[in-house]
Amino acid sequence: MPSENKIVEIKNLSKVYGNGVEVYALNSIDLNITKGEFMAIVGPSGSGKSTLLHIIGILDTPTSGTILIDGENVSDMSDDQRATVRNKKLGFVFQYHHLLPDFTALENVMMPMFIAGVEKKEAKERATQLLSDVGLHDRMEHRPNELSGGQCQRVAVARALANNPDILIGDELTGNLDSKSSRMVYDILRRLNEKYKQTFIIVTHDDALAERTDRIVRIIDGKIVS
Amino acid sequence: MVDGMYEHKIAIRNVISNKKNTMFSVIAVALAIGIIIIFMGLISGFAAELTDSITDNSPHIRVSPSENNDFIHLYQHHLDTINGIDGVSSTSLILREAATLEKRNKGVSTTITGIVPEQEIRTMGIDDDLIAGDFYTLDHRRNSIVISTGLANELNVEMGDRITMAIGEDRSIDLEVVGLVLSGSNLAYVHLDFIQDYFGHKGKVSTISVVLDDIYAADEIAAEIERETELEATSWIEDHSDLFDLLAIQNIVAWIFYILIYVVAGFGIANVLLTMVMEKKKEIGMLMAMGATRKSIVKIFFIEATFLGIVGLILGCIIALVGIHLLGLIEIEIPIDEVYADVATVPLDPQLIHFLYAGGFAMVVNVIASIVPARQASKLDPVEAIEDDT
Repeated sequence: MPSENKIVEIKNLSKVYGNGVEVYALNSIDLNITKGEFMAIVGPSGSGKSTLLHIIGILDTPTSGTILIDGENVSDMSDDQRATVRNKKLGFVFQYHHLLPDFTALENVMMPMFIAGVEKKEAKERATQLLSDVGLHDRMEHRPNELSGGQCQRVAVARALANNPDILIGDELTGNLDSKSSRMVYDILRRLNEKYKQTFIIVTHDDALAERTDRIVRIIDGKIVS
Repeated sequence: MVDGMYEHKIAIRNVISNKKNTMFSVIAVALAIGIIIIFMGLISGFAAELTDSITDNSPHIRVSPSENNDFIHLYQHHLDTINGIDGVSSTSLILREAATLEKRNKGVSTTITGIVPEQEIRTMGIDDDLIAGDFYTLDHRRNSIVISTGLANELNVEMGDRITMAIGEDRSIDLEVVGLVLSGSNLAYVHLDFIQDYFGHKGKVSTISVVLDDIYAADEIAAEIERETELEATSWIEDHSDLFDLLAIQNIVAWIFYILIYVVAGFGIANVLLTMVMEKKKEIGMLMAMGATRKSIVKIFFIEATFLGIVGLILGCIIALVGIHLLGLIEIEIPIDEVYADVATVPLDPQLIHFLYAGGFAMVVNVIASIVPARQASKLDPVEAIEDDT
């Protein structure tokens, strides 16, 4: 049985790539993440930190080992089941915002809720609240090409939180931003973490940002070193 | 604003935001549909024109003497029998003989057709092309003849002139021209009673012309006439069977042509959708990360293809209607003889079924063309799609 406050439980997880020559992107990882935790995964390029994040986000599958999200083993789920878990329990923010260019900020934030089948009125109310939370209440009807990089990334954060997920996953989410926008996004994440008590897992190269999280997990050559 | 069916909104916005690419696909579909509808209209117009020209100028059923007989005897009895058959609209008695028509030193060998004017007018509408005089004069003026303008030009005669009808070298009779029919052919009409008397064929005719209410019932009614009268009855369809075989072959060739046009348009649509998959890779990956299932991604591309198809279909129908209208304005001069000419338009017979055929096939082609791009999009790995740098 999973412990009450564990949201992610990873046991002996490995990810191997390659035809013929096997390369271990992740090698026998054990990691538990507590609900509401704000943690950073750091490590040099190619260390396996993004692979770990993608496996936690059920975007990728492990070669061996198990991963439990909120007590559910997601390693052997079907494609549709994984899509449902991603929609209901996970929110993603990537280095680039990947907003749908033909939709307004508000519509972009509503999109995960429509995928989940939430009613339009309810979706609009929540999206409006989230955009206000990230300081974009006056930019809701703007399309991505009418917003700055930092504003787009804030819309992406609001979108990631749309379905009130258990975990928000950020992959180098400030990597494309200047230091001022970076700080602003971090402050927003921190505030939202305190407000909504969701688990925030971010992969970053930015040591200063990592230092400001509750916990740092360091990966080198596919292994957790601290 | 997006609503519950998010796949529809994404698909339609994708199409609208990719105007440049989608425009070519829509034009490809529209042109295919437009060309095919116009072509179908032309082919059925041509077939209708052909049928009209056959059935306008010749009887629907030609009743001839039975085998080993040169003439139909007791024709009044046969005429009553034929008139009593369901579907027969009118009948006309004909006796044809060869003779030479002469004026001064000019002579033209032709067939003289003996008719009962009232019957032949009712059955074949021969007075439609009458430009001078009338056929009924044949009823009361014994030595009279109605000839075509072609023949009149050749003999250099006019209304009221007398021409000589000669059989062999020792028999001839002068006839007064009492009517002129507009035709380039050598036509000559006299009264049935006169030709029977003059050629010694009292009580005989060569054929009975039959006109029907429904021209396509000709084969069945011809068979019934043969059963009832023991004469030979040939329908216009049987008479022109070679032509109908040719029309059937033309139809097959046309369908091959339609399919080829659709295949080309289909590749156009597939190409646009594949380009869209490549361009929208990251967004597709992000949708998957947000929880969109692979089925939803397939649905988005099917909706895009259907939307492109519908827009192409509407545009194609407009192209077809405009094309049909413009083709209808083209006038073609058809010479009838040296003096007269008729003006005709391009034969077009646009039918609702052509629009339905073209539209239905276009939608099928669209769906088929979207299968590969939709599958390709749904098979994308979300991580690879999001991290794709191309």
